[in-house]
Amino acid sequence: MRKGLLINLDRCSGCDSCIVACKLENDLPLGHFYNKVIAVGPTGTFPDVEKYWLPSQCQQCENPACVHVCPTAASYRDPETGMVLIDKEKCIGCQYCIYACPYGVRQFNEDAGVVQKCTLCAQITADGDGVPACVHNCNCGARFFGDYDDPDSDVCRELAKYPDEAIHTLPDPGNAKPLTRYILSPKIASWKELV
Amino acid sequence: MAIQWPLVLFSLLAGGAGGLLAFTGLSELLGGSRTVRRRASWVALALLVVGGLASVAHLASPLHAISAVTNLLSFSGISIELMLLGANFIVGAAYLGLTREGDGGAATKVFAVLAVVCGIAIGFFCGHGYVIDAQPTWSTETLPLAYLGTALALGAFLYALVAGLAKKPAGAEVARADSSDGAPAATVVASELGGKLWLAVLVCCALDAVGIVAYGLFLGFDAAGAHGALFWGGCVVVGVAGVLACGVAGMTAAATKAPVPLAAVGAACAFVGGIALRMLMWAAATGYLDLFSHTVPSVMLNL
Repeated sequence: MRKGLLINLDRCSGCDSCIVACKLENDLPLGHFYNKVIAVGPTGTFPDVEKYWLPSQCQQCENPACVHVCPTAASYRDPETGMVLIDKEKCIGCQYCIYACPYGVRQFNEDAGVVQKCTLCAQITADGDGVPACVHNCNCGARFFGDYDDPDSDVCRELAKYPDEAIHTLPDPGNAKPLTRYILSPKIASWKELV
Repeated sequence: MAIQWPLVLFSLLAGGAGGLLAFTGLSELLGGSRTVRRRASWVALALLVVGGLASVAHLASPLHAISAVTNLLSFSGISIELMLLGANFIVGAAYLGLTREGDGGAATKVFAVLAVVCGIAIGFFCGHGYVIDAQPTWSTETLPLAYLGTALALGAFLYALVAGLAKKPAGAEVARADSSDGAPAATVVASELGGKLWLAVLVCCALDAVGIVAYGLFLGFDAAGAHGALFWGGCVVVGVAGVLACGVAGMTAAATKAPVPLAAVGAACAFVGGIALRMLMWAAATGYLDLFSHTVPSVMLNL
């Protein structure tokens, strides 16, 4: 099982509802985030100008560097769901996972003394029924959650609607194998590698 | 990225302690003063303790260090550093125990070899833990080489300093020092490592220079030069030129005339250069895709 997010950038309007929903659901204080939305662009020259929004959060890597460097096994990949999580009881706050994450989507919570990141709302999704708050509250229906190994899951059914050239992952500097997929059709905008 | 001072201090002090122990081992194997070796071992143990305490300061709570210790077999970068920290401490303490009443016999030779191996290893692996794909400015083997070089240079000059300060060594193995009447400090230093102490120091200085220059070249002059004071001042002028100058001076008459000041200045240069290199590593870190740092959250909601 490989549970993760699929984000359809053709539909994303950059409204930041996912950020708000995440902060409310996970009770994140001021300045703390599990996800953010990046504006990519505008690029090009008028009238050929394009821009898209890139919601960013933990990419749920299949070979996560954050897990490999963790000295206490606090960062781990759930063998049942494939979700990359943090056991805050084990986290010692050394922050090596932050340095090792290729995407910079982990934050150190100085008050709690632990590293935090997107949990795919494990408090909601652990029983296998619910979806993360960002997915549930996405105004544009751009976010999907499910098992990439299940052809009937929301993510696989949405992916099946698009050709390969519209399906992207963030660039991988090593062999982390980010699971999160982004849909961006060339007619909307050209995918930028950002590196 | 913000400079992580506890890690900067830990890696240099622990690495320097490793260098000191490595020189202690070499002295045991090649010849030198037992008094100098024992004093150097005490200094190394002190540096290991201070360095270890500095690393604990990086954690959210000092008690969390226990969790790291109980998960040593994760073989993460931190675990390997901890293993080597412990190994160096054990080797140093065991050497002190064995030589307490005199020559410990064959066992001391074994621990001398272990001291050389562990002492070099901790310098290297304190830098190797940072070689990760997610940090393009760290992802090079020149980084642990630079960590090793700076640590060995510091350890080498500290050993020369300890030797220079040991003006009245005990033990018959320092016959040349005992017969000296004009410059006891110089003769004690000269007798260390079978008379090859300053040559060994120079080798470490060369490693220091090669490591720093190699890492600087990897970063590129634009990236390194963006932190001009650190790179050109701390790393190049003090860490390379200063250290090399002291190392070369050790091969001249200056080593006979003023071994203690020379060793002290060399150790100071190696310390400053080592700190500057580590600061540069943190300051030049960019991350691969530092997504959260680029984001401007919604102005409308002022999140």
